[in-house]
Amino acid sequence: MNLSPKKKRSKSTKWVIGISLIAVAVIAIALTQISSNTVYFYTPDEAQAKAATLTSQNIKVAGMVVAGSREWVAETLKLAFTITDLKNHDIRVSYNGPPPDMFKEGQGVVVEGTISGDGKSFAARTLMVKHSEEYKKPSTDGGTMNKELLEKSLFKTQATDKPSNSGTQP
Amino acid sequence: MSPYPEATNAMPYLIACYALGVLSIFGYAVWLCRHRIQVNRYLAAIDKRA
Amino acid sequence: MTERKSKFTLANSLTVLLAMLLGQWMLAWLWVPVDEAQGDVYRVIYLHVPAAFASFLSAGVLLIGSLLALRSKDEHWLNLSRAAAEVGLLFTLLTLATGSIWGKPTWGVWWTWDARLTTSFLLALMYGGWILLFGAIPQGPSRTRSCSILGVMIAADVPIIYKSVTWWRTLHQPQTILRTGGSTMDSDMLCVLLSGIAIMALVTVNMILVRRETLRLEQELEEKSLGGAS
Repeated sequence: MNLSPKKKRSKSTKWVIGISLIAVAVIAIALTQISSNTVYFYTPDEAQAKAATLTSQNIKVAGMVVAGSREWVAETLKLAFTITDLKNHDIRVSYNGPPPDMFKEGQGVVVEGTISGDGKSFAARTLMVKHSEEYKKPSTDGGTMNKELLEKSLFKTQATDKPSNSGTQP
Repeated sequence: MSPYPEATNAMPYLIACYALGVLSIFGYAVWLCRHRIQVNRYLAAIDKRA
Repeated sequence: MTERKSKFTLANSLTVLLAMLLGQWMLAWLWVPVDEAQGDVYRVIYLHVPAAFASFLSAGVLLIGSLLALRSKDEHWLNLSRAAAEVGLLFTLLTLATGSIWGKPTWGVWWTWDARLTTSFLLALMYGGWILLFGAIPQGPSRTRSCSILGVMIAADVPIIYKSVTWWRTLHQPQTILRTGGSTMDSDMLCVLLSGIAIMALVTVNMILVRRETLRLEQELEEKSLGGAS
């Protein structure tokens, strides 16, 4: 610990450089990330509605993995599956490589990549698993994840609210 | 079990987190107290000289 | 004489609280059940959430010190603010690190720029910025004012971080504890989590007070050594 009188002048320069770097970082983050035009992810129906305009962009779409839709070719490391918003908007996702450990059917995912013009297929570069906020001990009747919670976290603030026979209101 | 080539054992991640917790929280606490003792010693030395 | 006494109390209470923290971690590892979805790795939550709360609490203390300094113009409040900024930085970095390490096996990524993670990252940057700002400006009313204003801004980030998972779409999970309809955790898990938050809160306040005291003593030391120099 330096307890002698500080040489404030020469110390100041270093601090000012440090502060400037931090200020630049803050501003850069703010400008690139918190823009009101940027949505963190689209829901499948939103992505399909805007697909024609979004094809050239790197976007994220969130959805639930449809049971039975998973295809995995081990030799070529190609994965394909369908995500849905439970309101009959399905998108077929393709991805190169094995998925994250917690990827499974019925799970929520956020995929990052590009969408086709018709909004029916998606080429994913990044595959992320999205969890609900539920934590519970294993149940004896096998797999009782609260689907409603997961749906809410994926599809709340969904723009279109078509009536459907499955799923819940966001 | 898993059809995918990677199946991560998540325990190293868990251990790493708590190791970080020990290092940061306990490390800072130890430094805090030792630094405090050091400053007290300097003060006592100055008070003696006065 | 009084310094000796207060060091005795604060250091002892810190020791007790850290022992309790270890006890809570043992409960987190050995007593609470595994999570049905995540298995054992979810146990990070018993460190990650208390650390996050500690970073928020530090901002609260920083806010108090900053407002009092702005009102009274007394620069001695900066000792409290600086202690809170240091402890706040420590816990914010720990939150980010444990969250990232937890994210890799559960989300599949170490990081993403969603609203929760971005605002938390900003908190860490601002805490660091506070400490740098304090070092850059010479002692005086200007430093007191600038640091206190930044302290208020840091505190303003905290409710944004907290509500980010509600206001925006995020990869990060929504609130588990404080939510309408009751908590989404099993009760024994929730107990250990809440006790962890409470213990960490006490640890945070204790560490801030010890650090503040040391800063005050260092000032006294500097005044005395300058005064006595021949």
